[in-house]
Amino acid sequence: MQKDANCKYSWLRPWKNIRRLKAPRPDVSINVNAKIGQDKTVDIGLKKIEDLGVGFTVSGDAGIQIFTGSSAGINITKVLCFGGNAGAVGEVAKAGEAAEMVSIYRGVNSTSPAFAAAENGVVKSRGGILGHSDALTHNTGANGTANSKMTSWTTNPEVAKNFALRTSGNGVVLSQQVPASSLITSPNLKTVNLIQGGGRVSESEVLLRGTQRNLNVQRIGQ
Amino acid sequence: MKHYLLVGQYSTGIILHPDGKTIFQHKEENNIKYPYITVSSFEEAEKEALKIVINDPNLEVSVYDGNEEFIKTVHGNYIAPPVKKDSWWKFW
Repeated sequence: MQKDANCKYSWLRPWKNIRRLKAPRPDVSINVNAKIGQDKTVDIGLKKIEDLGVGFTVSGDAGIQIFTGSSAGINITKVLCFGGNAGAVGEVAKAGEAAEMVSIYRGVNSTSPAFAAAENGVVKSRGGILGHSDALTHNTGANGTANSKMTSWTTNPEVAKNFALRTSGNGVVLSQQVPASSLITSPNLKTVNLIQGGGRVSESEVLLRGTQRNLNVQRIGQ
Repeated sequence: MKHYLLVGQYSTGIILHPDGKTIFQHKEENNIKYPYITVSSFEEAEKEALKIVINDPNLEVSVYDGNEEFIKTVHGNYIAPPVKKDSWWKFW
């Protein structure tokens, strides 16, 4: 077992760790056909990396340390280390600087069937794991949210408050901070008239895939 | 002075077209052309808004002045008058 700065317990129970991987966007693979010597640096010319897979082979008992980072402001949030030795797969570990985090909000009214779960800080998609993942259908389609594996959130807390207050006058505003890279962009085509006053604003919708737990819960209304 | 009305879903506040059914979708952030109903005065705006929400309590109408500044929202959350029934003894 090899333990290093970014790849903890690289040879331990790889199947357990690999399940935590996700690829929000198509992969870009770049092979560096170069032998990187000790204390040497290779510039591969990338401007932005969010998730990084590092493959390596070792011989003998040589220790390995893999560091990620950049003087050009590249922000790597996850690193998968996988070695050629016996096909082992390493743990996904955070590396580099902190990811760009975004605060998102969701309002749930007391009359909603999802209210009981929301009070406990849980949000589930209505379509479950078999639901669709098309952002346009979710945003604008008939029954688009009912059959979706995603849940709707907003970056504007006032919009969440509006949804929480309609129609009984009380509800909860759920909030959490998530990495910007985990958000699914919504077409965001709708405008909302705020019940608490102030007129019309953009819905500012963003989407998240799957069940969300341990959310901050703020009760509002009467 | 000209006033504008915007029809919306009472349950969500989402802006609709004047037909009260179709969701208004904007394609651009700037220079959005909202589906206003234009009226000639504030009094007429209130009258028209009330007419819309009485016909469909699932709708609300927000009122804007000539500069598109928000004034107020009129909604269908009104208490309907009780239905008058004949006394039970009339059936005896």
